[in-house]
Amino acid sequence: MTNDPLDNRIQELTWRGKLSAEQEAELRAWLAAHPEAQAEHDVQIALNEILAALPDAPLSSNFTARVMRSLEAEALRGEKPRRGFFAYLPPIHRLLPKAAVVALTIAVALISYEQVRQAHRRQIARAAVVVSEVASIPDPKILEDFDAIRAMSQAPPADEELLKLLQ
Amino acid sequence: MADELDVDAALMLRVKQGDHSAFAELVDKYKQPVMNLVYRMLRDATEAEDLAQNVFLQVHKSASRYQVSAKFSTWLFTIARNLCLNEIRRRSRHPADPLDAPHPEREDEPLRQFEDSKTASPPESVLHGELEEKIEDALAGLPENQRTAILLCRQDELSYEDIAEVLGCSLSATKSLIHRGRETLKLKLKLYLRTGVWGKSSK
Repeated sequence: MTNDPLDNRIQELTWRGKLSAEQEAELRAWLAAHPEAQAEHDVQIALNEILAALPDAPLSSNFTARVMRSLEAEALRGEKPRRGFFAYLPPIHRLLPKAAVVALTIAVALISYEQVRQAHRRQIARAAVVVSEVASIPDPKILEDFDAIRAMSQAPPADEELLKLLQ
Repeated sequence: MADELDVDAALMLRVKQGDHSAFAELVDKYKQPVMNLVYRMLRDATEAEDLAQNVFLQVHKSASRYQVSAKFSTWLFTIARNLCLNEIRRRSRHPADPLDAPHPEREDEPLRQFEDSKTASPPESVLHGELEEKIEDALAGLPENQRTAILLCRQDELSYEDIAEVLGCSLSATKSLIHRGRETLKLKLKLYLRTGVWGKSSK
């Protein structure tokens, strides 16, 4: 395309196959004023004729009938009720079965966790009972005379026969 | 041309009201122009016809959105081009079976067959097989937007502004596409343009 708007306009006129009488007149006038452009114009016209002469693409003779049949088939598909109970439900309610499964899974998990926790607490409680049954620990003050007690524990054993005679 | 617009708009108004006969009229009127565009964008007659059918089905589905102020043919060709581009993109992701692949049950027949229902060319413009093949190959070798612009240029009812709307680009960009596409075609077909039956002077 050139920078001359008139040249471009003439070129654009040439591209179109059919020109009005006014457009034809404008084109002829321009070519008369620019004879050097005649050869290029001839090539453009030849290209137009080639493109215009391209054969139509192959098309089935019953194309329209097939389109209308497809339309009817789509219309029937739209009217047919969808199968399955859940298909009738609004979309949000189709989530309910899945939500129920999820809720059940969570409930089972929570129950299991609670049972494990209870068992652990029972175990701890049993251990506490065992500890509580152990003899009470003496007052630590007793241990202040530890040395005296130790010495006493080392005293000779009692004379059993003498004790019997004295009784 | 204004009368043409009124006819199409009137038909579409009837289509919007559920008139199937009006829609059939529109299909009859535009089936060949749509098929010509789609065929030369996809280069496969069977797929082109399937897609051309889908174009009209899409038009019918979208009838409620059609505005009378819009030119029907522009709207129609926009839908056709968009569906073609979708198919081309799909092909690039999933290469199709070769056209000459054998039928799985009848090995002597190709997988795809289509009716040989070419419409008659105008008697004054008989194209030789070789020339026609050259032109088709030259067109197929153009970038998609240039090819589409040139093919739409063949539609007399579409102005340059309409073509720009279909292509989704500016008027100047559209004219540039047409210019560049034609320059490429001239180079590829110069032998036939200057020495062949098409080397005619202007009237």
